[in-house]
Amino acid sequence: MASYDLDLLETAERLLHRESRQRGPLPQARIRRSISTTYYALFHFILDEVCRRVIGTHNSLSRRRRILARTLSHRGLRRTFDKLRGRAMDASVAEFLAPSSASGAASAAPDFARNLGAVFVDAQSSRHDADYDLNEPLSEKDARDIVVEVRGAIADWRAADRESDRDFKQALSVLALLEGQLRGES
Amino acid sequence: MQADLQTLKRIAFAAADRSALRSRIEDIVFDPGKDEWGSDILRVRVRMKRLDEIDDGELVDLKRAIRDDVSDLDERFPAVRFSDAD
Repeated sequence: MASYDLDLLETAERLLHRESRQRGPLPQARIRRSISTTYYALFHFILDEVCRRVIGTHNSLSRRRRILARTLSHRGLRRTFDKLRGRAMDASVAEFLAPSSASGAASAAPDFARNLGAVFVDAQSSRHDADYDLNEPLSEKDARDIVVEVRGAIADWRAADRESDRDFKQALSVLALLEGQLRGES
Repeated sequence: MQADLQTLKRIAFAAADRSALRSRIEDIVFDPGKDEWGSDILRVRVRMKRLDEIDDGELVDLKRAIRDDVSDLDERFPAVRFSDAD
C-alpha cells in the first residue's frame, strides 16, 4: 500500500496532467490545487518521519503516532527548518544536533536535511500563495518544479541511512516536536 | 544579514551564468515581502523565454543554484518562481 505522502504527490501530478492534444495554459485552479497538495505531501511525510523516530515503527504503535502527529504544526516545522538553513546551523540548536559521538556543536546540517528544509520552506511559501494570494502569479512550471523538488528531497532523506544520518534525524525529530526551540526563545 | 537588491540580482545572474539556461533568462526580479508568519522573505521572479519548452530538471537545478547563492548572502528565504517572458 502506498504511503499517504506518495498518494498526495500522485494526486498533485494528476492535477497537472495534460491530454496529448491539450494546448494553452492549465486552469489556475489546477495549478494552485497541485501546489497545495504537494506541500501537504511533504508535510505528511515529515509528520510520519518524526513520529516513527520518536514513537517507533511497529504497526501496533500507529494510533500513538497519529496522536503525536496532531501536535506538530506548520509553524513549528517552519521554525525548525529555518534553523538548518545557511552554511552554518543556528547556534541555538547546533550543540543539540551535533553527532552523539562527537563533542561540541555541529557546524552545518547534513545536505539531505538542509535540502529537505529548504524545499519545505519553499513549498510552504508557495502553498500559502496558491491558497490565499490570487494576485501572486503561479505557473504550471512552478507547480511541476515543486513536485520534482519534493520527490527529490524525500528520496534523498530516505537514502541517508548511515548511523550518523539516523542520529541526526532522531535529534531533528525531537527538535520538531519542540517547534524548533530548545530554550525560552520567543 | 541582508544584502541590497542589486547585489542579490547580480548574484542570481551569476548563478544563472553557470547554467545552460542563461540565454533564456530575460530578467530576475527581487521583491521583498513577508510570509504568512510575518518573517521577511524574498520573492524572486525569473522571467524566461519559451518557459514551457524547458526541462523541469534543468529549472529545478537553476532554482536551487539561485536559492543557495542568495542564501549565502541574505537571511531572508528566497522563494524562486518562474514566469514566461513571452
